[in-house]
Amino acid sequence: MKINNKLVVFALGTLACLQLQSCDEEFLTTKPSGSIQIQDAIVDEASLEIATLGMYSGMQSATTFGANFFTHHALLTDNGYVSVNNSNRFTDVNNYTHAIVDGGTVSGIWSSLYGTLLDVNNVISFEGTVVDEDAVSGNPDNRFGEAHVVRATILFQLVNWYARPAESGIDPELGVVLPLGVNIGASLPRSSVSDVYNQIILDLETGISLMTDEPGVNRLGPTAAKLLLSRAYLYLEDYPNSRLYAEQVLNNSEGFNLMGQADVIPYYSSEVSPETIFQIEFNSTDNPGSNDAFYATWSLAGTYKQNFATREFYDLMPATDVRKGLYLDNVPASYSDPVVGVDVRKFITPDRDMPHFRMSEAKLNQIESLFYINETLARTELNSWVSTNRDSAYNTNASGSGLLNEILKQRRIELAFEGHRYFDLNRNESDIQKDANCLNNCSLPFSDFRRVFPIPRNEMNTNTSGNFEQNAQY
Amino acid sequence: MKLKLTWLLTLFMAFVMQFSFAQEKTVTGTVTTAMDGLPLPGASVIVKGTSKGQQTDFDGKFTIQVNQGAVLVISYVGMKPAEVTIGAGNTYNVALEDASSLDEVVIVGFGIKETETQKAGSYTTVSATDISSTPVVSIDQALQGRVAGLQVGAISGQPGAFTPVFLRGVSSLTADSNPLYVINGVPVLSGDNAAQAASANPLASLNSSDIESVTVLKDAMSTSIYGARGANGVILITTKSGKADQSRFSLSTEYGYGDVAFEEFDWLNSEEHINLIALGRMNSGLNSNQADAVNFATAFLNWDGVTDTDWRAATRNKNSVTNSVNLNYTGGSENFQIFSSLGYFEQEGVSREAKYSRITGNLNANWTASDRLKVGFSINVSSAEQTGDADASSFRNPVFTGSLLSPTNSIYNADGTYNLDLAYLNPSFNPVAIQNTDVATANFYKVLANLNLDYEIIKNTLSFQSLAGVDMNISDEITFWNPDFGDGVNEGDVNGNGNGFKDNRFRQIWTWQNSLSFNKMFGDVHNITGTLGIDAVADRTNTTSASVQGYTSGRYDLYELENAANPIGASSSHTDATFFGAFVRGSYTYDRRYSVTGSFRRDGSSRFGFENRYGNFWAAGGTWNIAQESFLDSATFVNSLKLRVSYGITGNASVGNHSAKALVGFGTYLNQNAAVIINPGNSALTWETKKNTNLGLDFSLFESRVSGSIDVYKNESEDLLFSAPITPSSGFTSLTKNIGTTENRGVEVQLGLVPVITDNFRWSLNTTFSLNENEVTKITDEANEIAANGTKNYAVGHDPSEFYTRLWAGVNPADGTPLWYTDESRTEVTGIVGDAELSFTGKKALPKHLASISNEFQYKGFNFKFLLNYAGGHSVIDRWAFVYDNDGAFANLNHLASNLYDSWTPDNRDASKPQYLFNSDNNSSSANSTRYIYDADHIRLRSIELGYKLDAELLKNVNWISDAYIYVRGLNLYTWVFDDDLYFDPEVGSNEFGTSLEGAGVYDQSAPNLKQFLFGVNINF
Repeated sequence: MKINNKLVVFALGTLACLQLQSCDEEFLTTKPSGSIQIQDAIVDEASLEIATLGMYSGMQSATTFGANFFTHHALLTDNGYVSVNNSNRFTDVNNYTHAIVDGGTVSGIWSSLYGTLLDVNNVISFEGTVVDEDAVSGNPDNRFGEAHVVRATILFQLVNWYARPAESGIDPELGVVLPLGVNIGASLPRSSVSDVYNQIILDLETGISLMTDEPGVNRLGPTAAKLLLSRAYLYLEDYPNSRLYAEQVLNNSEGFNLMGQADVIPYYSSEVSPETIFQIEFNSTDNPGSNDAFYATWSLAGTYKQNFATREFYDLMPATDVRKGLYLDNVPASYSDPVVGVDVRKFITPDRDMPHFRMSEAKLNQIESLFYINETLARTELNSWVSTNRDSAYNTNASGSGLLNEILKQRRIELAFEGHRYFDLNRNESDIQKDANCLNNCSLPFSDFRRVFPIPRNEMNTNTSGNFEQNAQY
Repeated sequence: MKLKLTWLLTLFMAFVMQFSFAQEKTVTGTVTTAMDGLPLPGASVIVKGTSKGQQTDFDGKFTIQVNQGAVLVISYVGMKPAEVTIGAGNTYNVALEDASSLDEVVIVGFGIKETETQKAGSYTTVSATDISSTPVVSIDQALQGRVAGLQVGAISGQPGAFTPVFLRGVSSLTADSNPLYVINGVPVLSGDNAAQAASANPLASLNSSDIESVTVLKDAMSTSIYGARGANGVILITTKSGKADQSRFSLSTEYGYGDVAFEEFDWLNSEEHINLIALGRMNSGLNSNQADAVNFATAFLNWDGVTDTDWRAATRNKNSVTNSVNLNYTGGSENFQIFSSLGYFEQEGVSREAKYSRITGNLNANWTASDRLKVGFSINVSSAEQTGDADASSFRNPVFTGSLLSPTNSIYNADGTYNLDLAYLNPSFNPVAIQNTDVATANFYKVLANLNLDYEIIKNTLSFQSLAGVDMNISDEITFWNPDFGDGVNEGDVNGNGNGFKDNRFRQIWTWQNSLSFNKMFGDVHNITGTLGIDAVADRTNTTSASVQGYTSGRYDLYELENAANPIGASSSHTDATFFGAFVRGSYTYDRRYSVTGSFRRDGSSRFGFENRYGNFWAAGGTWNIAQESFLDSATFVNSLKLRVSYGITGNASVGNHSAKALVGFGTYLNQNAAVIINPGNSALTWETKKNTNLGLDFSLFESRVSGSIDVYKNESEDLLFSAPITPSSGFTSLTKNIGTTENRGVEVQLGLVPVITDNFRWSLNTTFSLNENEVTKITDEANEIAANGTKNYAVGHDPSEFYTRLWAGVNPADGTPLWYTDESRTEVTGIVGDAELSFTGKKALPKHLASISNEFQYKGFNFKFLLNYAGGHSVIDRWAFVYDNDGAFANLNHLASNLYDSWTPDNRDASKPQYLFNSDNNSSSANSTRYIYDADHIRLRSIELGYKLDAELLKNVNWISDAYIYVRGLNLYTWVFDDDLYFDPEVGSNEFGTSLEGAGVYDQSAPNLKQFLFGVNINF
């Protein structure tokens, strides 16, 4: 029977193949279908552009810039609350039970921001290696400049969530980890708060010097960098510099403009406005979804309608203030909280772009800086801006701390639900007092250790840099 | 379906029975054992070449109509078959000889046959009879209680759900700890294969009644031939094949009802719920008198004062129906045998929408082409449909929502529409409405085929084997969330309400194995066997997914994706893993007394970095057949006695296909590609290895009426494939590395007894017992512990399944506030949750002891058997108790009645629960702690069966039936739990975490396990 010989040949053949080991090298090499090896990521201007967009893709996370930063600032303070009729979302932040070392909120923000920072540092690590190609619009310097501004934006968030305010004098050495290169798995110590701010300022200045063009409102450009410089100097209580950069923004030649009274309501439903300097882009197919978007918990139109603005916040605005129209006093009786809250009408769709830098903040930074430089001018600017742009009936004669409180009140109203309130209370060393809807931890003096996030447990457990210290009392 | 099939079959049989036989005469006889001359009941007597036959009665007697010249084939398990040619006489007595157990052959994989003499490793074979006596959906579930050291878990009572299996405890931490499944030589897809379904078990696609035997390979000696994939044990499944000189149809049908196996939740009714809220209002000082508090509660829940809905009953089947029909044919001649079958199976789950139905077909053929060449072929095909909604805390989970909804809510409004304004976590998640409208359907198709040949190059000495096989699995899953309520409401979203999701997956594993086998006896006492071979495996997964939004309101029948307005997402991907191995295995046996076996395999895998792609795995073992020694000649009560010892190294390669590579993937921003680093990569990644020592003793005494084995083992697993935490500040929270060591050790006993055997009565029992201990012995050079999910923590000196949480110290009798121990020493208590350290609890999720007893009683035609399983030394945690067993939070949800009746009040200072304070969660009393851990020790009546075999006498008027068996049986009919406070099934787990280990012992609001009552008939003709 012939089959006999064939089988022997076949058997020997396969065994011989084993000896050579060449036939299985190919067999044992498989490639993923949806990714490339890291060293092939940035090779030319086009791939640099793709990597640059990757930084923003990370910033879209609902955990951070995409939604929850706005939510946390409101719930950690007196601007908002979670109803007792809730779906267990954000109850940790609302009750200040987020402030535990193994808390998901605290570690989620840390991991997400540092994850994006890795991509940013990866882009920056290619600085100087990419040649400007005629066929590709723009130039590599603009992209690398952008990366520096993104890095500063992320570091600014990290140092304000996880470290005490720069000028508070509390634990100035306990800043955050400051990785500037790509070294996955490395353990770096906490830099001091001032070192982090120095890096933020350096990155912003580098970004401004490298960038020749505004990259568009969905990306971070030189004007955004200047606004963040103004904000950083405000936090550092360096008022002349804060004023300087605020005024550079206000006097920009890029077409950004302060919005007027008639623009306020449309601003939050439309995405196109000269008011906006930077907003995280979302569209109908790329958004946090109806469960995780900001509006999901804040708007009566959301899937998990449970968060509301406090009555106290709503009552800050006189009827003549156009901003009052951004809140609807129509919360149904089925929400059984002691004090009826108010529905938030900012960002009421899942695909609404989330603004992080806009012109009116520059105005408020300018006014607040002026308070420390020239109180009269500050009052004039305040009266002028509010009465022209927000509330025609507005006029204040306050002075001294009364004027400062008035300036901070206008800042609170203007930037409510946009990621400022908690940091503003922290840097001004103000106590937090919540209203009667609060059930747990309702009064948090500035001295309370929970006024700063703890370093997450997974960082504490893995960081081997030596003497890696936790924030006080955690 | 069942009725129709039965009728068709009856017609078919009516046609077949038109055969008649001439020249017959009645022949009688007695079958006995040659050894002791005792009659042998239940021996099979078959007229060669026909389907005609019967079994001997309890006196070993048979009476049969045959033609002169016909040949009777008499056989019995464990005996050598005998043939008798019918001559002129009418009485034929036959004595069957013992098939010497030492020559019994087990196939341990790759065509390698091992005799009992050679067996140095540890493995257990489960017969078809034992498999079929536990009526379960998937074969892995049928193994529970049959194999010492094998723990079969459950993560859901959803029919078709994945079954986590732990063999000899657990040694892998982050990597998969489930064994490798091999069917007819082909490694098959196992694990949880769900894309959308809550859980899906690819092994459920197999029809248990097509399975001939299952061999569980436990130690390194047995599994090292599987090299890199053998570390968690190997389960070899062999499907049925045809028998020569037979032609027999077998029909079995079964029908029954099911209900929840064990559930002792005590929930509040409407009035009690109002009272609980009122109590909370009063305790919190929010109301000063009871009437105001009750008024508040009534308004809070929007109660009409009448409604008292039983949401559990509304979301569950009254009776969960199970129904199956199997028809198979076995037959053949000396050179060609086939087995074929068709099967239909359906089982409803506890929830109304949960169901699994399956059609299977099977064909197995063996052809002796020449005196040297044998060719075998088998194909199993199946098509299954599984429906059932999400589990865990998903609001759409009918188990979760069906329990938590306050009974004060009505299902329907007065006008008959669904009540979509519920007092709940989200007002529109009416579970009855969702069950009636939404779709969660998964279809699974499987083709498992193999072709094998065996060619004898030198007769009885050298042969060549080749096997090529493929396991193809196609899944097609669809989810529809209606646009009007529940998850499909996307208000404010321009893409509209209603969501549709579709996932298609193609998973294919093919294998090709070639080997040369040598077997030679020298000088009558030296026996050498050896096998040399190569093995290639390729595993391919293709996925396609799509999602849409914007469905038509009210048209719930139009759920397919084509009916939606806006496509939202579309994607496809593929991923491959390949393995290539070469192996050699040999054994030498001297005089059937001493035997040594060694095996070596070199394996390569695509999953690892270039420099660490290959690994070497080996094992060696020895056997001493003490009973063959002359000094035991006088001990005639010893039938066999054998000592085994083995040592070896196996591997585990259960990591992502591309974990070793540093990768950049593509997201999107501004509708353009946006590249981000998605995998940190570790080019040094390599196998996890397991060193195993096994010592065993097999014995058979008193004419095999006492038989069994004892095994003692120790494992050390090193270089564990570990998703190790790294500094999140460096950009990633974990990196797959080879770090950590675990040890486990244990004892296994398998004992078979035949206490009584008389002419009419036979009692046999089999027991298993195992003890297993697991310990983490090393994590990294820097750290001694690493956080894990599922309320666990991996730390040196602890069992990896040990629960890790705060230590609950009860209620402060002074003021009703909660107390915890500050730390593991349990010396100080605190009322501040932040001061209570997370600690090891001493409570483990994996049982330390497993035991089972299966009893079988036969009296004349009656058969009564049952299987009792015991698991002990372990605990379970309720992951969601904080939602319904807290002290004031989530007041609008139903709570355990103990919150009302046994929470602290000034009059009840010894209460088990803290004071109930409205919407305040009394000082974080419901924070995760040992408060929600319960002892899981239990005994379960796993299966019980009473049947009657209709003898030839009764069936003589129905001459087309050769025998028939009717029975009633039950599954999980009774459960004894040792912890009086335990209110959910002790056999639970979760698939919400990365691994079966993390999910072990976690009650996750998944579908409850079923108990079943079934009635069935088996007919052979």
